Order: sequence, then C-alpha cells, then structure tokens
Amino acid sequence: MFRFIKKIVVYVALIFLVLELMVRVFHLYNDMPEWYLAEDKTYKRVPGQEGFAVFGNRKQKTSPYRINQAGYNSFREFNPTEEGIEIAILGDSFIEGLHQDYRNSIGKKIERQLENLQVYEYGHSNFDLADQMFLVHENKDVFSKIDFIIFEFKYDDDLVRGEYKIENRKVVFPLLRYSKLLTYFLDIGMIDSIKKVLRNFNIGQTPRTVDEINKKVIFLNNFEKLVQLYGLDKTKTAFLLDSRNTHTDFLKVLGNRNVKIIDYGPSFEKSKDVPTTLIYDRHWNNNGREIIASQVIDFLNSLESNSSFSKESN
Amino acid sequence: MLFNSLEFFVFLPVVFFIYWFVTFKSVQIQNTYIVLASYVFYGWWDWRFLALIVISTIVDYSIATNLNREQGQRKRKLLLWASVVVNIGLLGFFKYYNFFTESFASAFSFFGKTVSSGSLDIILPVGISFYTFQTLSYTIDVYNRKLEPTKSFVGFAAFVCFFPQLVAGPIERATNLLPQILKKRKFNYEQASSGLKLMVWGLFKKVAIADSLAPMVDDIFANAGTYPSSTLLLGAIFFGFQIYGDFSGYSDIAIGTSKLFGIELMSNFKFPYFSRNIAEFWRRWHISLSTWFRDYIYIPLGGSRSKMKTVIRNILLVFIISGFWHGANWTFIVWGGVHSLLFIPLLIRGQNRKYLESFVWKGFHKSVFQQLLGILATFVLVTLSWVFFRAESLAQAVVYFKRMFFNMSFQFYSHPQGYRLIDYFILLALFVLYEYIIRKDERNPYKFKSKSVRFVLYTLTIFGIILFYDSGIDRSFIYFQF
Repeated sequence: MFRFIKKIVVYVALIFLVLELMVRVFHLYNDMPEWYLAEDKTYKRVPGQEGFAVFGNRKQKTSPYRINQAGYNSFREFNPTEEGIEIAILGDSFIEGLHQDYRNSIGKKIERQLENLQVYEYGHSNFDLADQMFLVHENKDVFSKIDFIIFEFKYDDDLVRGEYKIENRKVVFPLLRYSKLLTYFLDIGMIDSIKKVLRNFNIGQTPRTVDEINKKVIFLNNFEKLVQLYGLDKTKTAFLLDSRNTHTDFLKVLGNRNVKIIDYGPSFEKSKDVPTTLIYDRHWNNNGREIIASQVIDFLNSLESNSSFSKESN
Repeated sequence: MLFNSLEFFVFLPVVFFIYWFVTFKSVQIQNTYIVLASYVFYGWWDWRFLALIVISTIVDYSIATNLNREQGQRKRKLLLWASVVVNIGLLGFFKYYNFFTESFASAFSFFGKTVSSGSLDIILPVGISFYTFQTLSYTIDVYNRKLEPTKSFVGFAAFVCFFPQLVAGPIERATNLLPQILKKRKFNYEQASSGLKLMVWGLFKKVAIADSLAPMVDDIFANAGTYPSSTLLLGAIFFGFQIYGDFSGYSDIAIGTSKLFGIELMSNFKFPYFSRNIAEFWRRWHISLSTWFRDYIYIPLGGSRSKMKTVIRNILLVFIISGFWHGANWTFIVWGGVHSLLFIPLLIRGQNRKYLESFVWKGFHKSVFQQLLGILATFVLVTLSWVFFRAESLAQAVVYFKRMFFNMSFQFYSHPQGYRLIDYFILLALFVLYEYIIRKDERNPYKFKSKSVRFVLYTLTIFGIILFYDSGIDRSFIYFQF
C-alpha cells in the first residue's frame, strides 16, 4: 500500500512538472496584467505593461495588450484637452478588451471612422456602474474636458451596488500564481468547482449578488442613489446597453431623465447567424465590436446633426 | 455523483483509505462499509431513490433464499415471477409508464378517438435499468440452480449497490461479482495500479473525446433540418465517437475504481469499432448487456438450436428488447430493429460466429484489405444506426436521413462556438491509432515494457484531457438516462 501511495505521489509530481513545462513552452496560459489600487481609490492596471492574453484551451486566440499611463488597456494615452473632441467609454472587461488586439479595439474602430476625435476606453474587468460613476466623480477635472461619456451598461450586473466602496480583492493562494499550469487551469475553468467550494468558506473573490425577487426595486433604487451621490450630466452622457436584456422600467427611468441610450440589441439580433461573441468566452468578438463601434458612430453622428454635440474642431 | 466531478475526486480517496486502513479486518466490515459508501454515492444524486435499491435488495434476497429452500417447481416458478414482477414493475413504472400511456393515446387518436394520455411527471431514477437487471440475474441464476444464494444480506446488498458500477454498469453477474464480495479483499499493488491507469484512460475517453464532441453533435442534431448532407454525416460519425467515448470511458473508470477496492468487474467494451461485422460488434459493444440478453432471453427462448425461423424470431426479439431497454422511445426500438436486420443475414449465412476469439489483424490470417473493408462497412452501418439512437423522435431521424441521402451537398461545418475543427480530426485520428495499438488488451491501455514510454503516455493522456476540457458543457454520462 505504501509503495502504491509513494508511486502516486512521485508520478503526480513528475507529471505536474512536465505539464508545467509544456504549458510554458507552448505559452498556453494567460498573461494577465497586474492591477493596483490607485490614488483615486479605483482599481487600475499597472501602467507600462505589455503582453499577450491567451484564450481557449488550445490557444485559440491570443491578443496583445498595452496598459497606458492612465492604467487602462488602450492604443493611446489619455490626454483630454479643452480644444479637441474626446469621447470616454467606461465599462467592464468588454471595454477593457484584453480579449482583443488593443490596436483594433472599439475605440480604434470609432476613430478610424470619425476624424479629429479621440476615444478613451476606461475599461476595467468587473467594473459596475458604481465604479464607473465614481471614477467620473473622482476625476472631475479630467472628465470635464471630455466631451461625451458613454457608460457601457449591463442591467443584471451593474446596479447591484448603490454606492461605491473599495472591494478588497483577494488572491487565492498567491503562490499558486507562480505556476503557469495552475494559471492555465484557472483560465480554462478546470478548477471552477474548487473555486465555488472555497467561496463557501469566504476564500477568494465573492461575486456580487442580489435578492432575485426584489431585484428590480433594488436596481432602480441603486440607480437613484448613484445619481444622487455622483451626479449624472445628461447633456453629455449616454448608456450603451442591450435593450433585450434590460428591464423596461429601467429604460423608462432613463427616458424620464432624458438620458440618451445607445441600444445595440437590435443590431445583435440581426446578426444572429454571425456570432458576436468569442470562443470559450462571452466577450464580443470582432463582429460584435464592429457592431458596437458602428452603433456609437451612428449615435455620435446623430448628436452632431442635432447640434447637441459639437465643438469647433472641423 | 459523477466520476468526473470534484465530489468524486474527494469521495474516492476518502473511501479508499478508510477501506484499506480501517475496515480491512473482516469481510463483513468491508461489505458494510461498501454498502454505506455506495448509498452515499447514490444518495448524493437523490437520496429518495435509495428506497428503490433497498426494496430491490430485500425482495431478491428473500426470494432467492426461498427459491433455494423450495423444492416444488410450481412454487419456485411463482417466486421467480414475483421477483420479475417487482423488478420489471419498478422499471416499467419509472421508465415506461409515460411511453405506454402516450403510445396508447396516440394509437386511439389515429383511429379518430381522443383519449387523455394521463402521463405523469416521473423522474427516472439513475441506474434503475442496470441494478434491476443485475438483481434479476441473481434470482434467475438461483432459480436455475446455477448459483447458491448467499446467506449474507450485507454481502448481497454490496453486490447490488457496489458504487463503481451501480449507475451505468457493467451489469455484473452474481457468479462473477458475488464470490469476490463474499471473500475478504487484500490490497494488491498490481491490481490497484492497473485500476488507476484504466481510470485515467477512461477519463480521457470521457473528457477529451465524448465531452469535447458533444457541442457539435448537439448542434448538428438540433439543426438537422438546415445542415447539408456532409455536415449530417459528420454529426453521425462524431456521435459514434461521442457515445463510445462516453460509455466505454465510464466503464473503464468503473472497472478501474473496482480494482482499487480489490474487485474485478467484467469488461464492457473491446474496441467495437474494429469489428469486422455486426455480430462481432455486438461481442465487443456493451458486452455485459448483450451477454445478459443472450443468457436470460435468447437462450431460454431456444437460442440458435431451434429452427431457423425461430432463431430469427429470437434474434429480432432480443434486439428489439435491447433497444427498448435503452429508453422509452420508438427511436430505440427502431435502432434495435435495424441491428437485428443487420445481424440476421450473417446468421443465415453462418457468419455470425466468424470472428469469435480473434482480434483484428492477428497474424495476417486474412487479407488486410478484406478486414479493412469489413471494419469500414461495419463502422458505416453502426454509425448510420446511431442516428436513430441519438434522434429525439422518429420524425427527426427521418428528416436526418432524408437530408443526408437526398440532399447531397458539401459545406464546411464550423463549430457552434467557432473552435478549430481540425483539432478534433487530429484528436480522433490519434485516438483511433492508439486504440489500434492497444487493441489486444482492453483492460491495460498502457501495456508497454518501457517505463519512460509509459510515463510519456500518462502525461500525454492528461495533457489531452486538459487541452480538450470544456468547462461549459453538461458533463453527465449519456447512459445515466437509460
């Protein structure tokens, strides 16, 4: 029996080492950029990082990223001026875009179509509306120079909180991060069930939850609270959302407040035959990003024609 | 509890260590512990259905004990029928009640009368078809005086509920499993080590082959009405590999797990896709079920020692019942019927026992070309018959075949989530090649002299599992539904 146990231990260790080596040699793991808590009390990526994000078990997709000096994944630096036209898109990982080539992001697609305009993508994984509105509120001097702000919004995820608070980020067993094999396991969801169990013991990042029965009331209240706390300049703000997944009452609230909406739902619906999301992932693929970009472009053009959004740049 | 779940990953070592370090002192303690562990394993899914296993255990234990005591043939027959009625009654109610009521209702509606089907919302208890057949075989063997009934109730309970094979087989015979259960098990290094290897190989077949093909098979069958013939053919082939990987993977894990506990289960699969005709296929596919039907239905009906007409009737009957055993749906009955029609010509020509003991290309005693042709033809026939097995209804199967044969067109298929299709072709090619290499011994997938070769193969197998692991799919085993 002891020989059996000893042999299992030796074999498991050896196989682990060889697999670790293979995962490193074939670069199957994800190079995720490091984050930190910035002075404005929001999470940002450590500036200056460059690398490749890898998606799918068999490296189905690799995409380069570049963290700019502001701490966001972007092809450009963020230097808003009074003179230029700058658009800020705030959001979660969909806007952060680590799953895409940063040189072909939504912002870049918009800039290719609209000259003399700069798009700043303030995306950070797991950011909800509280994060986004707090960021704008805390960096008034920067955002006051920005001409238009677009909040990328997902009804089910973004209104769980009615106030911004720093959420302590926990790294489960930080030493494990040194193993590329375990990082790879994490990436492909192979140890999801272990993570789930650990969460029961309050280990690891706990997802935000909400009482499902009273969800609508809570969400609407949270939205009111966020507006009261951080303000919402309806003249230069729009919500980028999918109306198919957004409660009609919330859409009414936005309508009553005259907050503009960029609804990509119908366009995604039309594109049902061509996928809009990635392999192994629910993030937008290139087609999805193209649709989002064109929606934003159409919206900005309509603003310009309505003269509610213009600056003497042309 | 699934073999490929985190729960089992924790459950197995705990049960294993307690078994060999705490309960090793006597066979009674070992068996009591097996029963407890097996009930936990089964109850993890739904503890309420444990009652069915307990009922089946008590009924067959008591009937078999009485059968042994009783000398009068009439009473013995009555006892046997009591066991058949209870076991098949439970199976019939949970598995076939809705099928029969709905079939009657549609038969009436065919003649213009409307009758409510009265179908019930019944959950099918996992593994009921397997343990019912296992306990039945025990009673029938005692009735036929092939087996002395055991006096140990706990031993019998352990035989019925032995967790590695409880929910999806192999359907064990009392003559093989019971004697092992009634004897104290001692730890055997070679046995345990070969068990672990078999488990790894089984896991590969389940995760890398069956689970990774599942999204494509699901997509193709769900949209059969829109895909071209080339894609439908691909769907049928992929399903052939999916079901083989799923079920033979499960069987390997079950056999491997049993080995860890000092028990040898019968082989359930012997590389069926290398079969050279349908008869050989059925000697290599789901062996525990096909031999069950042979021993308890086909032979009692007269087997092959009757007139040809009777033999053909027996074959038809066995295949149709076998199909019906798989599920309460006409698709399974047709699937069984199709196989009987493929089998009968071989029987008439006396070729059904042609490849009895040999394995493919042994000593080149037949021309390679002829054998290859046989393998290919058998694979094509089996693959096409899988369409009935996989389709949700006969209507869907008909649409599938119509489009496949009468709407000939070729189009590159793309995975529903956009995965590279070439990866799967390479995977299947390597899998078939490796199965060919190891074809002489289904219980020993890593039978190589060199330690380093074995180590490389273990590593590559696990690497394959990781590379094709799909976190987004339902990981339960197909045969759990039967």
